[in-house]
Amino acid sequence: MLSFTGALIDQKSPEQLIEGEWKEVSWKYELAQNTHESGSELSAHQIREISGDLKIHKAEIWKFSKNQLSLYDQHGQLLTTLTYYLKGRGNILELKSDGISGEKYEIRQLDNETLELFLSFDLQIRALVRLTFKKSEV
Amino acid sequence: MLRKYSSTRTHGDNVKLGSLMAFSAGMVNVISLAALFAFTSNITGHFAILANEIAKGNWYQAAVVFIWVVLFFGGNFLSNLSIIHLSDRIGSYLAHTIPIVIEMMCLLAAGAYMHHFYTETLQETEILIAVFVFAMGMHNGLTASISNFAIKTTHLTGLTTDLGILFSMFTKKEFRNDRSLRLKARLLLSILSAYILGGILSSFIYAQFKYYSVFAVCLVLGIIVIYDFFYLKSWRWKLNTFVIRNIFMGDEEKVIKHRVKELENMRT
Repeated sequence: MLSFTGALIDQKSPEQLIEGEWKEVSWKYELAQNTHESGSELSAHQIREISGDLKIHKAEIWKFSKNQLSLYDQHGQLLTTLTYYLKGRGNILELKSDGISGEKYEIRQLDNETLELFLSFDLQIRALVRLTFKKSEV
Repeated sequence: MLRKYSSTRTHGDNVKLGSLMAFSAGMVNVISLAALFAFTSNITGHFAILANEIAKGNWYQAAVVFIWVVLFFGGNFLSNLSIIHLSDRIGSYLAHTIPIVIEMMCLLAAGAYMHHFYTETLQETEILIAVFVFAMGMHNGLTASISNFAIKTTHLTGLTTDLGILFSMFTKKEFRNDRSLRLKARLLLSILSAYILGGILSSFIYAQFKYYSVFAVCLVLGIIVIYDFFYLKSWRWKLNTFVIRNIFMGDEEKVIKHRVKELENMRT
């Protein structure tokens, strides 16, 4: 009991951990049990179907500040700004644009160095997107 | 439905209480999942998450989940505490109502907060989940306690297990002919259906009314409380009119016999 209380006081919360600049290092589509690198075995049409509506699929750098997520391309050009919320026990990242709930990601890993997000689809094709980020040095 | 305890409860009492309580628990679970992204009526999954977070070294998340588990335990503890310590002093109806009233207060407070103040920070979300989990602990503790562990309405793991066993027993004629087993299956099926129906309904209500949907759960709980209140009132009214009528007619012996019978019923 004491150690859990200590953890609450001492450890960084997911809200604190996520703040900062994250650079995308990989973007993988997973279909059923097999992992496919972007554009490998999935057809271009399938990938378009999965990622076409995603607000974040062209962003290379994600910058989290308090409740705000700024997305930049590889040249550092600002693409868009969204509002983000952490839900559950800090395992769900919800993105909102103009107050309208958009994408929801499952946070699989979040520590001082790595952020790994899962976005699952259950449409005609069962697939999920795994995004991995590394924290940029400040 | 609420005032009777343990072995004095009839099958009908259990079906009514179990269905309404399961209905409201199903509603709470779906609302908390939609609004807060966490299950709150069952904690088996939280134990698995707790173990997983500890293994991954995510101590902050582990601590949060641990607190939720402790609050569910605390809700069950307080609920039964109220039942066993207060029944003799204030009567079974009031003692059994207190856990539901506390649960309603928790849900009302959470609903009002979500509607007026919630800015969707992680701390707020964690605290709101904690309130829901505590309320569900009270909820489950009450039904399990007063039904002598026959009904559990916030989670369906044990219930599905029991149903599986019962239906396998029904493959033999001697068990099919056993009335108590058939009644048990009927009770479990009514709880299961009510839980699912509550979930479906609250999903629609949440889509339309967002956080107001929490108040719909309070309404269902209010019906449970009021039902027994009016039942008791009408029963007392019937008793009094019977006594007055027979005293005027001079049949005091009949009144005394009736009084004794009613007192015996009240004691049970």
